[in-house]
Amino acid sequence: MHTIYKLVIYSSISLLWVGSVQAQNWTISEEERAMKMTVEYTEAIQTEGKAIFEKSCKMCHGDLIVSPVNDRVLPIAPNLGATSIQSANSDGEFYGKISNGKGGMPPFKAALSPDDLWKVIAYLRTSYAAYVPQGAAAPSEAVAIFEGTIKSLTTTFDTAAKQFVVQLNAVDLAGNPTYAMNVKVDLLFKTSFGYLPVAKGVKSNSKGQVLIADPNIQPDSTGHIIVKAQTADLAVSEEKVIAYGSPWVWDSPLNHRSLWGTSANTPIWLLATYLSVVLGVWITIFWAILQLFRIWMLRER
Amino acid sequence: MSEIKSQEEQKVIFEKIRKDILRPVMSISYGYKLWVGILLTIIAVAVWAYYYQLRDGLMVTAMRDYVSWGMYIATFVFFVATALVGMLISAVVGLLGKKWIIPISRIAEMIALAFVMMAGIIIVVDMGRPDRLLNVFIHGRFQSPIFWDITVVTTYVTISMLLLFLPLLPDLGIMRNHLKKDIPAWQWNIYNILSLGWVGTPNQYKILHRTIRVLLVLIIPVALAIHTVTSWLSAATLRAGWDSTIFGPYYVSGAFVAGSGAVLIAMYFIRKAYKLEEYITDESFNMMGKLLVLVSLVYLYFNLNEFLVPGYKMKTADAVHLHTLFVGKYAFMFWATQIGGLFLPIFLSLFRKMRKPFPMMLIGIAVVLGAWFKRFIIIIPTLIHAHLPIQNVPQEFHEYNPTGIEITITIGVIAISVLIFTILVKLFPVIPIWETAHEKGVDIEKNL
Ligand code: HEC
Repeated sequence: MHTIYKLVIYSSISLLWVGSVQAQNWTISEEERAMKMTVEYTEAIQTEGKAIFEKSCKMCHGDLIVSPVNDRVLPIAPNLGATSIQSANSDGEFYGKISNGKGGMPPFKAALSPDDLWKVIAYLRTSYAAYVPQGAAAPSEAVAIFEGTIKSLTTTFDTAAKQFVVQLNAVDLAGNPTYAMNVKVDLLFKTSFGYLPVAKGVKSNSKGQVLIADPNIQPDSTGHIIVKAQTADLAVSEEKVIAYGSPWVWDSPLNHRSLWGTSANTPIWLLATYLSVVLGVWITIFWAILQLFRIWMLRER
Repeated sequence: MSEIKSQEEQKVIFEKIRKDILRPVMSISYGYKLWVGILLTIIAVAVWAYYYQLRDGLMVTAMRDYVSWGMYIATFVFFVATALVGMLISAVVGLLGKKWIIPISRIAEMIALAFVMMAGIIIVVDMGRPDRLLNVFIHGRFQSPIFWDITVVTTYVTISMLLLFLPLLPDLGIMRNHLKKDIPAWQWNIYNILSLGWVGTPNQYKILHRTIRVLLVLIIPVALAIHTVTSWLSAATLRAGWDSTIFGPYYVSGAFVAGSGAVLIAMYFIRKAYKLEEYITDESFNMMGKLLVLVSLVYLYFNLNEFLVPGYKMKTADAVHLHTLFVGKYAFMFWATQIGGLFLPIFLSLFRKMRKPFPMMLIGIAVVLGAWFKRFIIIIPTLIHAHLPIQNVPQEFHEYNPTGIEITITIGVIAISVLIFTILVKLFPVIPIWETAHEKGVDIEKNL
């Protein structure tokens, strides 16, 4: 059969399959739907949840990135940070979906304990600003959650105080500029092979600033480094070259007399040893040749 | 020296020694011609093979990115090793005043010269672009062991030539005086010129003895240097199997073993072909056998250190290397070499019955073969394990099976060294006439 026909047939079969899988519905029992979070909605729990997420979910779902709607196309796992998904699911529905799976989404009922499932959900919720914790998650005392929008952030290095300052520029719900407090920020530093975290999840203060102590990075020879600041939910980020430390000149060891340098840079001790030994030996050899000449001079004439 | 003999008696003895030793110089036997013919044929085939290597490059060898030192360099190390025997026999044993060495010393020097010359040549053979040979000198670095190696090899060649030539002077004088009628004119002219007008006056002897003595002392450090530096070519790297602090003495002691084996073979065939049983006696073989045991035991001791110590620790890379040698791909070659080229020769040579000419010659062959394969084992298995982790390299990088061209050229170069030796033992007396006569109580300063 012609390859083209094969391709057409195979792809229509798989499309049918994908379609049927998607057409399936999530199996969520009424019980699950009604469940409330059994872990506290605290930073510690969210961090634990994040660890589980990175181990068991991230390879399909990727990072949680706040966006209005899911920006990925099935069968790729959706971006769980999408506000549309966050708002469409109650905690119980999340619980049911993750427990039972559907199509490409594996069931985690057997792999993760209910506590772990809730911890992951607690982490998922960090990307949903409008989330109102319920059940055990309901806050005992109100944590000031920033409710406006972060417009941008910008990083500077304060040489005197020896710290990085990440300034958040934000507007409140009414659209007026405001200080964004309690927003988590990561600071990364660009190396030849990728980004090296300098600090992760540091919260902004009442002035909308995140202060990060100088981690003593080796700047490039012109005294600059490339830093990347991002909100922990990855919604806003900025990469920037900033002056840091002082310029320096690399003093290559090959510019000095060294064993591994060029001949012109032979270490003196080596050169002296080599030349004196070679000279000594060859002077003796020439002396011996001279003796041959002396023997010849003594010949019978 | 024996008791004082009458003038007449001395004349007779000297006459006989001279005739015996110079007989081969005067005539060329059928066997000799055949032997030279065989060697020339081998060399001709090798030259043809080398033509292909020159035309197509080193691609015709099995050397690739991993194993960039193959048979050629192994043979280089073998040559340098065997050449060291000149220094062992004439300098170390000679300076100790051992008389049994007199009839053997020149053979040893001739082997040394022939082999060390070819050591230089095979390096050029190993070069992909021999036309760039000069760059080695122009861009050589004083810091590089390779540069030191070139220095010591040239120095050793020069001293070896002098040490061969100087003790030859009185014999050349004798040949000039007595052979005029027996040999072609051109040959006599060579002796005449080379003899430098030697007449054997006490003054000439004084200068000769002093110069030889100085050179004998000088050649000891130079010879030690030549093989120690050769070992540093490998030992100055971090590679498993080479990264060893005892590589210098390990090489030197191994060299003495190889050289002694070569001398035993040469002694046997020269004695047979030239009918010199009276000079190269059974006692000479007995003593050479003892010397072989001595140097082999030293070598065995270094072998023990070289393999037991890393074998006990089994550091990651060393472990891989040692496994290849002990039980892996090179196990057969390794154990055959160690047993056939070291343990057995030591063990057999311990018996007086074995220290006779024929068995000693066979042992010599085993030792020399073992020496060559040992150099192969030192060079190649180490290189097969890449020093840097690289992935997905072609399969041919992971193995080294010398090609026909490579083997032919190597055998050819060995044949050249044997040919040089063959010519040397034809042109010049293989046994020092004057020293032998002196030993038998002839006043050599008078009887020329
Ligand atoms: C093998 C890849 C894979 C893994 C691992 C995976 N998922 Fe999914 N997930 C999917 C896919 C594909 C979907 C979309 C299923 C569909 O809609 O047909 C999905 C859907 C979901 C949904 C439903 C989103 C919505 O549209 O309502 C949630 C919630 C979810 N996954 C959470 C998780 C969590 C939490 C983990 C880790 C414990 C996880 N997933 C691990 C592939 C995966």
